[in-house]
Amino acid sequence: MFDICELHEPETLQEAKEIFSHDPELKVIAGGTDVLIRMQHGSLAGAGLLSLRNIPELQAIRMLGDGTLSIGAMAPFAMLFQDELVRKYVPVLGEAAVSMGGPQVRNVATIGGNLCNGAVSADSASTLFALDALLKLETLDGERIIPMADFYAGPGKVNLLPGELLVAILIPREGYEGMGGHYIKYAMRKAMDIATLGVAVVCKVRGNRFQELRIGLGVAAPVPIRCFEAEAYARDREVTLECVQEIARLAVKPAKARTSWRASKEYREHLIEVLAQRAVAEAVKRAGGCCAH
Amino acid sequence: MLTKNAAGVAARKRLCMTVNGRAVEIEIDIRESLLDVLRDRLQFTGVKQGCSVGECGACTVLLDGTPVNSCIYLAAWAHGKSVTTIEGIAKDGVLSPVQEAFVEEGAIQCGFCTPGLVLSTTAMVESGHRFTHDEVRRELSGHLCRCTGYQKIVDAAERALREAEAAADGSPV
Amino acid sequence: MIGASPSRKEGRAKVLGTSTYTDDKFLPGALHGVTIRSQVPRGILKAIHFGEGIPWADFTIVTAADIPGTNRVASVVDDQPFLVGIGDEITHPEQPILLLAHADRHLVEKARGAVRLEVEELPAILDIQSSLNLQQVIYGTDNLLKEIRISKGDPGPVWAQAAHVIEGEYQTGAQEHMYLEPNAIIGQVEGKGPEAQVTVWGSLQCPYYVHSALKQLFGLPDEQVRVVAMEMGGAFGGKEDYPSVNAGHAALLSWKSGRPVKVVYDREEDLACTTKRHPSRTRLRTAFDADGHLLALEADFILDGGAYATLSPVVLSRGAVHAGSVYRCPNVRIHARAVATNTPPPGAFRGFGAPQSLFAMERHMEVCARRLGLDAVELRRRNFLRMGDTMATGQVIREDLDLGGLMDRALQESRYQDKRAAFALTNQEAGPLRRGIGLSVFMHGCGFTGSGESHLASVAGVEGLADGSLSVLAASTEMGQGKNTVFCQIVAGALGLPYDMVDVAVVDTDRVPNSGPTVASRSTMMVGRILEDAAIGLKLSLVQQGFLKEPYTAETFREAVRKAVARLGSLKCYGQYHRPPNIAWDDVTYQGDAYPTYSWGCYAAEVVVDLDTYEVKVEDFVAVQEVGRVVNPILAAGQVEGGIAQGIGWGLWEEVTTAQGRMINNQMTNYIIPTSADLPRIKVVFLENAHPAGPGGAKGIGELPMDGPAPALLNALENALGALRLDEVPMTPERLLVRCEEVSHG
Repeated sequence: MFDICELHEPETLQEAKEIFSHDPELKVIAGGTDVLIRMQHGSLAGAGLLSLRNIPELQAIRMLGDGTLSIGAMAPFAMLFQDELVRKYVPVLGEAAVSMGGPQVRNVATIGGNLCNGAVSADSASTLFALDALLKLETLDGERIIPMADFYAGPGKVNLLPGELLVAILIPREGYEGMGGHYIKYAMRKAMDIATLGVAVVCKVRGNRFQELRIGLGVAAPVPIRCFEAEAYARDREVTLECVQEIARLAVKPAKARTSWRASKEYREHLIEVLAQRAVAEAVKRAGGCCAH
Repeated sequence: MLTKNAAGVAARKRLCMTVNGRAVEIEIDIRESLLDVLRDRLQFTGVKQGCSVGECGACTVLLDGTPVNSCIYLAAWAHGKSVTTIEGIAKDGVLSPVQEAFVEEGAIQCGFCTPGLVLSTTAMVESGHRFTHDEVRRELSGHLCRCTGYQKIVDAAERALREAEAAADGSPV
Repeated sequence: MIGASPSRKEGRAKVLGTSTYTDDKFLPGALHGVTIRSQVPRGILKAIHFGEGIPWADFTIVTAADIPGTNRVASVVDDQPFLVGIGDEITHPEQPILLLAHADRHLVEKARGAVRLEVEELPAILDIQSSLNLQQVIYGTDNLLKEIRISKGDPGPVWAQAAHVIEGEYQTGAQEHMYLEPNAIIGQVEGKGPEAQVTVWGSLQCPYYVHSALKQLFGLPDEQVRVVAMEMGGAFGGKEDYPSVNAGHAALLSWKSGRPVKVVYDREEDLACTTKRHPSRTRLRTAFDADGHLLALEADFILDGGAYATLSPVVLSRGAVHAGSVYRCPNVRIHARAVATNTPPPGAFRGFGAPQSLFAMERHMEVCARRLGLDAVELRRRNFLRMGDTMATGQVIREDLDLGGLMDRALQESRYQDKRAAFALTNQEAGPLRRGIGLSVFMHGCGFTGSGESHLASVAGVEGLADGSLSVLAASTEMGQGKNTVFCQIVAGALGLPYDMVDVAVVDTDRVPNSGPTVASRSTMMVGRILEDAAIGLKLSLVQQGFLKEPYTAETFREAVRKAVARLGSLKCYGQYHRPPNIAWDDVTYQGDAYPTYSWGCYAAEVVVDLDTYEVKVEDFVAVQEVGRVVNPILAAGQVEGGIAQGIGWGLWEEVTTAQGRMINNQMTNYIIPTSADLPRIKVVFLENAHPAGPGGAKGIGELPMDGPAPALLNALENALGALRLDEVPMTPERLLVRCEEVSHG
C-alpha cells in the first residue's frame, strides 16, 4: 500500500491545471513507474497525487502545421516506439524508448514522467537534448516553451513553476529534418536495467561534411548534457575517422562523471569516448555519410 | 474527480472493472496497488509478488490486453478497464494454447514467474503480429526467471505464436 | 518410464495459477511479522528504544529474553542465535534483534522504522585477509569456522625436481540465489508451555532441518512440531538453512500472540539478509613433468564464512574434495579453511563450494597449458582420471570413466577446433570485436560428502491409497527441479505401472518420513533409490499377502491396492538408505570414498568481447554431461540450462556490492541476473552411462551445471584476448578493462 493522502484524477487538461494551481503541493503522477517505486521505498510519504492518466489529449503524437513534431507528455514509451511519426521523423527517439526498462514498464511509463522525475539516466532525455527539443509547460495562467537545457536544474530536480505541468515535447523541424541519429544505452544487461551511460547523436551530413552535429549524454554529469565543444568542432569538417575520434575525445570534456558502485569515473569517461565515437559513426551512416579513412 | 483521505483515514473509491470477463464492483482504498486488490481482496493469488517495484514481472496482468506490472499500478486506475489475470486464461478448465505450450515444452520450473510469462505471451499471440526470435526474447525480457535460463520459455512462446499463426492462415503447423 | 518425459506433475496447477505458495495461504486472524535488524557489523546491544507515534501496546513484540527453549539455530554447529539479547554481541549487519507482529501489514512496516537500537560498536573484520591476519579475533581463538586437510603422496620432494612448477591465485565473489519467490513462512502455535503444538508452513527445502530447529527453539519433542512445505518459488540452496531462522521467528511471534503469524520478506530484505554463495580465494601450486603430466598439486582453499558456522563446514568439505578436480595426481595437499568475518553468513548455493574450487583448477589448467606450451585440450587429456586411478581422498575410480570421450563430444558439438582456427584469423582484423571459445571439464559428487548419507539414514516410502493409486512419501521438496515428477516416474518404473497411477504426498512432517534434505544433487539418486526399494517392497507385500499375483496389469495392481487398503486400513512400505558395501569414508583423515559416484561434464563457451566497452556477450554454449541414466530428459535439460544461466551470471555479471559488510545493491534492478535478452541458445547433450547405485541407473544432476560455465567463459576470454590475469569472477567489463590495461602497460 502506498502512503497517499489523496488522489485527483482530472479528465481534462484544464481541470488538471485548476486543481494544480489550487494545490501546487500535489505530486504529479503520470505512469507511476517512478513515483510509485519511490513511494514503495519510503519517499514522498503522505503525498497527495495528481494523476494525469485520465486525460487522453495528453497522449497524442501529432505533426503540427509548421513541421514541429508534438509528443504528448503522457505518451507511453511503447507507443513512442511504435508510432509512425516517430519512426519516420525521429527514429532515434524510438531507439531510446525501446531501451527503457522492460515491456511492461514501457507500456505504462510516459515520456513526460521520464523527463519530470529529473533522473540523469532517463533514456529519453539525452535523445531529446540531441534533438534540440522544446518543452511546452502550462499553468492555469499561461504557457511557456523552454529548451531542454533550461529544464534540468540538478540531480532529480527540474524547473517547473508551482502549478505547472509538462504538456508536450516539441521537436521543431530543424531538430530532425535531414538528420541521421543513433542512441546507445550502455547498461549491465540488455533489458530491465538503468543506463550506466546514454549517448544520443544526431547529425546532418552534406558532401560528406558535418553540417550539423548534436550529442546528448545521460549519466555523464549530474544532469543530461550536450557536448557543445565537440559539436562546434565538427561543423563543416569532413567526415573522417580522425575527425570522429576527435569529436569523441571532445565529448568527454563537459562530462562530470562520478564513481559509483556501478562504474568508476575513469570507466565512464572511457565509455563516453568510445560510445560517442560509435554513435557518431552510426549516425553519420544513417545521415548518408561515411567515415572510413 | 478527487478522492480524499482525511486525517490519516484511508480514502475510499468505488472501483468498477472487469476481471477475467466478469464485472467487479468493489470499494477500494486509494493507497492500494492493483496487485493488493487482486491478491488480497479478490483472491487472485496467481498474481505473484516478487519485488513490489516493477523489477521482476511476476505480478504482470493484462490491462485491456496489454501487460503491466500490477505492483506499481494504482488500483484506482483500473476503473473502467478490463483486467486479465492468469486465472482468466483457461476456459472451463481447458488450458489455452499458450498454457499448453508452456507445459509441453517444459517451460515451467518453480512456477513463480509462469503466470506473468503466460500473460505476456498471450498478449503477443493476441496482437496478431509476427515476432522474430530476438523480438520474442525482447518482449519477454520484463520477466525475470531464475530457474530455466529462458530457453524453454522462449521455445514455448515461439510454439504458441507459430500455432496461432498457422491457425490464422488455416495451414497446419 | 525412466527416460521418458511425462509432463510435470504440478505443471497444470502452475500454469493455471492455482498452486498455493506460502503467501497465498490466508489463515483467519493472522498477524504480519517483521524483523528488526542490526545496522552495524559488530557491537554490543545495549538497549532497544521504541519510538513515539506507534501504538506499541497493540503489537506482539518478541526479544531474545522471550525464547522458551534454546536461542541457537540447530545446524552443523549450533552457534547462531535466533535473536541477539541485550548485552550480547552483534556479529554482522542485518542480524535479527527483535520481532514485531500486528494485524495491519502497513502499520507493522511503519513500526519497524520506529525502533531504535542502542549499540556500542566494536571494530569489525569484513574480508578473508583481515580474518586470517587476526586483525580482530571474532570466532574461537583463530577465526576459523572449519579447517580440513586432504593428503595423498608427498609433494615435498617434487617441487625441486619437476620440469615445471606453476602457481596461481583465483578468487570468486558472493552470489545471490535470486529465487523469484522471496522467503515466506507462516507460524502457528496452539496451546501454551509444554503443551504447545508448533506448526509452520513455508517456502523451505528441508522440512526436517526446520523441524529440528523448532524443537530446539521451543524445547519440544518431535510430535509437537509440524512442518509443511508449500509450493516453492525457487530455492537453489537459498532455502536450505535460512528457513530454520525465519521459521523460528514466525513461530515465536505466534507463540507469544496466540495467533498465526505470516513473515514474508520483501525483496530488499531478502537480498540484504539471507544467505549467498561463499566468496573464495584459492592458491594453487602445480608441478608437471616435461611431458605435461601432473606430478603434484597444492591447494590452499579459503571461504569467507561470515559470522557463524552455519553450513560453512560442509560447503568447505565439498569444495576441498573437488579441489583436486578431474585430474590424476600422485601427490596432493589440500588445505581448506572457512574463516569468520562480520558479514551475514553465506550458505548453500547450488554447487556448494565445488564451483569455487573447480573454477580455480579449470582456470589454472589453462594457465599451465600456456606456460607448458601445450594445447589446453591436450594437457587435460594427458591428465584425466580413468578407471582404476585414485583421487585426492584415495577414492578409486571404479566406473568406466571416459573423460576424453566426453571432451571430444563437446569439442565436436561446439566446433571448438574450427572456431579456434577461424578466430585466430578474424581476431587480427580491425574493429573492436574479438572472439574466443573455451572449455572446462569438471565433476560433481552425488549426494552428501563423506559419511553424510550414512548419518542421515534417510527413509522414504510408498503408500497405497483407497482408490488403488500410489502416493510417494518423502520429505524431499519440489522447488521447480521436478522432484514430484521424477519420484513418480521412478516408482511407476519400478512397478511397471502408468505414471498417472502415482502421485506425491504433501510434504508434511506429520505425514512423510525424513528422506533427508533436498540438496546435494541427492534426490533423484539417493531418495529415488530408496523409493525404488520401497515400491518393490510394497509389491512384494501385496503378493505375499495374497492381494496380487504376478504378472499383473495396471488394473489388477490397482484392484489389489484397493482391496489391501480396505482390508488392512492402510498400506505403506518404507525403504531406508544403506551404505553400499564397497564405500568407506574416514571423517578424521578425509580419506576414502567422498561420494558414491560423480557426475561429469565438459562445457564449451563461445564469447565475443567488445574492446571498446569490454562487454562480453556469450554467443554459443554447449553442455555435454554424463549423469548416469537420464530419468526425464526435458526436466534434466531444464536443470542444465538453468544452472548454466546461473553460472554465466556468476562468471560475468553478478556481483554483491557491500559497504561495511552490508549488501548495497539489494534490488533486482541493481543485482544483475540475466534476462531473456542476455543469454545464448544452450545446447545440452547427455551421454548416458547407467550407474548401479542410482534408480534405473541415474546419478545426480542439479548442481553439476553450476560448476562449468565460469571457467569455460574465462578460458574463452583468454582465447579471445590472449594471456591476461583472468583470475576472478565475476569478470565484469570494468575488471576486464583493468586486466587488459595491465597487459598494455606491461
